[in-house]
Amino acid sequence: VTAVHILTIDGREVAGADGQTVLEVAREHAIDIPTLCHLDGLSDVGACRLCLVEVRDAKQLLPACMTPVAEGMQVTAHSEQLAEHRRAVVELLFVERNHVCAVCVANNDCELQDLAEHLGVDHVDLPAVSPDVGVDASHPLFAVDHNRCVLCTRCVRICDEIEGAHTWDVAGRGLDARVVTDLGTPWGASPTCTSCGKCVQVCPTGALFEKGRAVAEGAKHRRPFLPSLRTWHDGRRHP
Amino acid sequence: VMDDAVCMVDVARYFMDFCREESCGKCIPCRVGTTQLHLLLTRISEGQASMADIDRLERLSRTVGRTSLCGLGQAAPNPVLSTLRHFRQEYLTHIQDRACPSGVCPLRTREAVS
Repeated sequence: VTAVHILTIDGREVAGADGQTVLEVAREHAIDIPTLCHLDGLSDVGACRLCLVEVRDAKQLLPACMTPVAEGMQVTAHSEQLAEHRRAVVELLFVERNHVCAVCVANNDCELQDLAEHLGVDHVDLPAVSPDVGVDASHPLFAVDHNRCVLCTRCVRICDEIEGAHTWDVAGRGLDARVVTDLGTPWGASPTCTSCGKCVQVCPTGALFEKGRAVAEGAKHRRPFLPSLRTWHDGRRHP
Repeated sequence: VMDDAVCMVDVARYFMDFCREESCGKCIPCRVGTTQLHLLLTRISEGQASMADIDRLERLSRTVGRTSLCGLGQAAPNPVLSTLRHFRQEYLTHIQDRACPSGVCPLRTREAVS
């Protein structure tokens, strides 16, 4: 028997099963909490800080994607303060590298763009850092444009957890952090990449894309299948 | 020793430079926020800032401190916030008079301008 916890989110009384996260329970009850690094079917890392919520008696803001529900928990998912923090985080993402939507393959199918629209980020106030981080187009089917990368690490996680190849990883730290294939060898020369394309499908921006796609032609389609893929995959590992 | 030969804007900038260097890059507020705070502090110390930058500095400091994943990012804005609290006038002098009271910052002093 799974224990059920009663908690409140934004004043609404909701029920969640033991082991569920605040984010899962909120979404089950149609309470929208913005996310970027989270993807149903992948492990969570709590890196994008967009799903931070206020939990009563907690000293810090907690990421909803990694916080398990508990009995009597009082969660505030929407406040003026949280909205300001979320807008600031999205602004920081926009000024980190190069996110010029008008010339991006993911225009109109981009989670960063959707977030900005949803949270009301219509301009940025800070100077763009935009280091020249380059493009790796050595793979015959796909390419990675690091200028569009937000380091959500979805590609790293899906490659490791679902495909089992672990081609992607993160190298460097701070502003120098990059996603890399096989310790930094060109993607096209990767001996571990199976060319399955899962990383491309889960990339929230235009950083990973199929070759031959023009501006706004890089729509990604396979994300809804991920949770069932995960269940199937876990079933094979632990029958 | 922190005496009158030390510029508080420069102190804040020094600590922010350290945090920017040490940031691991996993979470966005620390990875980009420390860099942006460092840019803002550099602009103030060079006499290139406007009064709106003080507001930007305070707001961004609060966001980075509240939303960063680990202690590095959470503590990174503390030197900024405490120097702003106790030595706000030094910041204002850098911006309004384009002068560094301690003569540390690399900006032209009012004397040099006139």
